[in-house]
Amino acid sequence: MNRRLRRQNTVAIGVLRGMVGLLVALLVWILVTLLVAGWGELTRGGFYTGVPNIGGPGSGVGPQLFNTVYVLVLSMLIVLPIGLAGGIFFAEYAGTGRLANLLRRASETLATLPSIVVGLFGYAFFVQATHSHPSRLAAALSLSVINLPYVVRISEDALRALPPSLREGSLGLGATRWQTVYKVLLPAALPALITGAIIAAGRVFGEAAAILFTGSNFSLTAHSNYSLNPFDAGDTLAVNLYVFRIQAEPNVVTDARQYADGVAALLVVAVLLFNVGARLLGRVAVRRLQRTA
Amino acid sequence: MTDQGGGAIAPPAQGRSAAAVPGLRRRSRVIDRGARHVLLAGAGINVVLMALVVAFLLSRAWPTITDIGAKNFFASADWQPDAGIGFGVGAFGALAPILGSFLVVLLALLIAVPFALAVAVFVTDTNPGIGERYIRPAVEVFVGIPSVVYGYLGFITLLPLLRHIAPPGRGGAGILAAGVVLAIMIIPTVATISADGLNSVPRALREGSAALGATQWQTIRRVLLPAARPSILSGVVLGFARAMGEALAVALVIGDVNVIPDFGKEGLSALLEPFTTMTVAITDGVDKLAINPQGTAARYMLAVVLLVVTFISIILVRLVGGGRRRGRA
Amino acid sequence: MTTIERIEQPVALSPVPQPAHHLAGEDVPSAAQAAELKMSVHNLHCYYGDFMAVRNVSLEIPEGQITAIIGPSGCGKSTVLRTINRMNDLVPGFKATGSIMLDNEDILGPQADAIAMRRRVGMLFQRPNPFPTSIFDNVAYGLRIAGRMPRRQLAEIVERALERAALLDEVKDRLDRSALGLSGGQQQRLCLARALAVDPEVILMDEPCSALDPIATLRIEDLMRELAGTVTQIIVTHNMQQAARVSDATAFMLMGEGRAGELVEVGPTVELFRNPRDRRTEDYITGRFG
Repeated sequence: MNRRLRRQNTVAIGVLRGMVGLLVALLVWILVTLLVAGWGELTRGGFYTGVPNIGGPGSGVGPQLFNTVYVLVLSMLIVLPIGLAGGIFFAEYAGTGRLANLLRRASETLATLPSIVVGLFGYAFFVQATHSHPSRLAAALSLSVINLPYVVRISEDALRALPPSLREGSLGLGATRWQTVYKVLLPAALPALITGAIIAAGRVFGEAAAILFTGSNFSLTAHSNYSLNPFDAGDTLAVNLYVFRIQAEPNVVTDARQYADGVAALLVVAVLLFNVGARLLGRVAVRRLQRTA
Repeated sequence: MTDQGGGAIAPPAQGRSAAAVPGLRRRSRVIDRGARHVLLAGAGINVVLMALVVAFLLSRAWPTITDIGAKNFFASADWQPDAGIGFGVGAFGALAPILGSFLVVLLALLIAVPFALAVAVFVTDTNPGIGERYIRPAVEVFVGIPSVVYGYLGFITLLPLLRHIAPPGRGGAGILAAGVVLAIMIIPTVATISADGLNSVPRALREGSAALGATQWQTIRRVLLPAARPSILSGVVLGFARAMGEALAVALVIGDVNVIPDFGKEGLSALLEPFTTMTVAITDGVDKLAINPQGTAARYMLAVVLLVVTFISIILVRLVGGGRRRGRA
Repeated sequence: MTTIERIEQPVALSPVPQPAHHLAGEDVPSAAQAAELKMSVHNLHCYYGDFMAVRNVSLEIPEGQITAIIGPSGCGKSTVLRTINRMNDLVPGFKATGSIMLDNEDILGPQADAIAMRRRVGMLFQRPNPFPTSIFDNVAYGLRIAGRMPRRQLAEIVERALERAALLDEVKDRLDRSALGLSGGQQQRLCLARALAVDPEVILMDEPCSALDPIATLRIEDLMRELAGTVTQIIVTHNMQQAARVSDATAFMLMGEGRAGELVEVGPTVELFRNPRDRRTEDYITGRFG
């Protein structure tokens, strides 16, 4: 009887490990497939500088790449200060009272909204209600709505991770709470905050649904031409991949598949870079924290 | 206690700020209070935004109730929201997309949950060393990949594969393809939350089980998984919510056809018939938002349904998640 | 004789033959070895990674008796106990050398089946650790993992185990309720019932009363005396008075060189406490340290 149980144990745990192995293999396969397929485009300089030219040779994602960074930066500029403010509030000023709980619940609820719902809201609020047209500004604002709860949470966590001796030292010298936050806590939490900002940026980097509704011009060939005007519409890389896939007929257009493979591969590379970057910075943050402690 | 700054008794900083410039002290207080208000505003924006989202979506969706009626919306499968552009008359029965969403997500959960639990148990109990070093980073990479990329990958690799077993003439897109793609996307969510739950089961329970002569698998199955059930259920509900809300990845592999597959006639191969979901139906109309008020209102209505699903999910997580707090002091 | 009575009367030597009173490392004349040994530990060394936590412990465990292991914190007594039922297998990096005999098998041997052994050697932990299920399911756990059993037979064994643990009367009408609703003392008796349900030959107890109040402690000690004779018990305790009250034989351990625990002296409890042979034992017993 004992042998049977042992065998069940070995088999069950073996199956478990096999399933995990399968997933790891799947991940590797995903990354390899995408990188290999898009390799040609990734290593072609014209890919990064050219403009979409479906049907002709040498399409590029220059404008989309630019738009991706543009919208990302714009969104971070909006969401980081607000999110940081909220995070500071939760970490340093709020108690566990009813108000704080309500605010927290709202934040958590906002975080669970599907991005397409936020996109539709973004259209209704940032585009329609202001009587304007889809723009990158509207897209950035929508991204901010999506990312705000996350930035609040990482700011709060970064501050809460600081040793209480920092706070006590500063308050003990007669500083106000705001002075403590501004002069002592924020600088000490900076590495963790930067790491969090990078992760937040990574999250919206691949976001497409919300931008589709608020900032896209739905066209394969019309593009924003590197404009700096936030009121211009424009597609980001992820949106472009979707728009492309839906609109282009692969049989009719020869370059289409190659182009899409390139965009997908570029997105994957960017994600890996974000990941590695955040991880490295995370280690710096931990080391800094250990020194202040 | 006044001190010119050179006194040996009082600490210099305190002496200076307490005595030197009363105006400076008052200004700090004002700034402090002002700061509190600003920060409160920062935190309060969450509530404001949440209210705005609900308000705007409801108001934009309302015409659907008044013009088309709830019964027509929920009970009819005749969905031609864009036929009304120009001179046609649209139909706004959303049964198919709603059904499609639930079917696809159900399939995704059926596939994802066993794998997610396997990963969770692997990381917490059977192979924690490898788990920490390799699996956690791998999960982070999984999570970071944009959803469009998953959809695209499904489009170029999964669909051709499914084409071999699909009914003739079908491209392979359908509920099965969408379920598989969504499953891969929600495994990290369910796995991470379940792993947290497993980690918080006290070590003493593992020891108690082992001391009674249980194998590791018996301990996992009979003690750990039941003890972590609140967390696991939370993870499943959150995975459900995430899958329900996924739009573009699904759109790329489901075929976007508003005909309910006939499971009675075709059995399981109906999973390979093209279908649709709520999110796909919404995404369809993205380029016609301004010119198709009725269709757009119907799509807002779908968004409201998604909103309700999200709220119910959050409530379920609170009910089911028990005492598991996310570590806030 | 209940524990309370034992405190008030001088303890008579147990009628069962006792192991010899000897210092660690001393050769024991086999003639003096009259007691039947249930378990014996030979030259046990325990390592956590490179760190030696226990050095060269050899110990005899007579059948049916209560053996106590005492000593100050950190002297390795818990490590020894947990090695006896191989609980330390769960700790990554742990290694044990030497042999531990259960009847005629070396449970540290390469062919040894730790899982089967744990059904013969049960354990009670420092803090009660009932599973978050019903009282019935807790006690039935050990039986269920051993194989299928008809419900009626299961219920009989569960009831009997609860009776032996002096808990049945208190819980017999709420067997389906959660075990977590019991008090600390009750939970520990539940864990005892859980261990008894599989009819173990040996029960190991790792400071089982340290989280309990004095009344609950005395009840556990009473139960130990009742079980003596049928079950061999080894108890680790930092409470000397408890060892003196409850055990038939006592082993004294101390942290030695390099922070590795060693056995100093072992013998019948009464003799060890009256006439300790090692200076260090005497110091510990009289409270000069520890």
